[in-house]
Amino acid sequence: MEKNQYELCHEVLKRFSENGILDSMILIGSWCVYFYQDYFSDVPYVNQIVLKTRDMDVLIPNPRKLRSSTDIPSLIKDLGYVVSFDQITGHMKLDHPELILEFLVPNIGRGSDVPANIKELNINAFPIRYTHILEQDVIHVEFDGIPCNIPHPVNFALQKLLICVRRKDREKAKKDKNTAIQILHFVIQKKEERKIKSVFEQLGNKQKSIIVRELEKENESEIINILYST
Amino acid sequence: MKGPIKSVLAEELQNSIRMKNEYKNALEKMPKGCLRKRNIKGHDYYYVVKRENGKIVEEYKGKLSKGQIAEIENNVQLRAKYRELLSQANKQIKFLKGCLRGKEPV
Repeated sequence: MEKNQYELCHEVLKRFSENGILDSMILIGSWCVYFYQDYFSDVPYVNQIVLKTRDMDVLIPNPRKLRSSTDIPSLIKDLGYVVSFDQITGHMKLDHPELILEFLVPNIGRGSDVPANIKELNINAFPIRYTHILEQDVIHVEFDGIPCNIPHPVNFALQKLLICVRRKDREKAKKDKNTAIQILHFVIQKKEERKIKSVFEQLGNKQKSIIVRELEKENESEIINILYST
Repeated sequence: MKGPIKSVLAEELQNSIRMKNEYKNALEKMPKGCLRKRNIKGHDYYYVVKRENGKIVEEYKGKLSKGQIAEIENNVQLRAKYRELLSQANKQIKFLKGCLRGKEPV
């Protein structure tokens, strides 16, 4: 990570932490790959297996259970953040040339493609599918002394495999799939194959078949064997 | 197909263009000028100095409270920050367009 980006990311997370909102958030998306370096410290892990964009995705698993309210746009305005809205969906982003913040919430029930307003934080967040997998097992890492929540690498990878088939952008879908497969290989190197199997077994049949189909397309027989091992 | 690197760069270009517009809009909405203090017969009087149509104009504000002074000074700082970030976004756009162009039309 570049120095400026690192410092900005640290400052933003520090402010979230000081205002008591960081523990209600889970950092998801390609930035997790960077944060996994501590978790994979015992294997030769490369934290740049994926080209990460400047967007940092922040999942708010349960907006109704937020313990404190903070006006996020005002909180980071002095850092140079400006608010922008997608012209079609109305989804809000907090823009900065070094680091863009995007907020997401679980898309449950029939689903919705309209951003959800979170008054407590003065933001809106876009609903996305399969977040329950990310919430199932959250690990805690420290980013320069700031405790952050991120999904377990296995949950992260399996969720990526599920959402890649929903992507309209083929390049993004391919990027998601490659990231997921590489992360699963690091998990195997770390000798945590059983974790892959246990998370996979908790999924529904439809979700299992999507994952296996995507792995088959990439000839990932090693991972498929783990999924069906006894 | 663009390939993974070009696809990421294209996404970043769109982000930077969006950002540039946001910073421009924000700068247009913010009050211009910086604060100047004059001490006349022991009293502090304030003026906002700004450039209008190429001329330097001093707008009389009179006596200001500490809160009002802090607000104007914060605005000046934020404006400078936005200008710097707008310039950064412009540089990113130029760089990304150059990377994406290659021998193909963007």
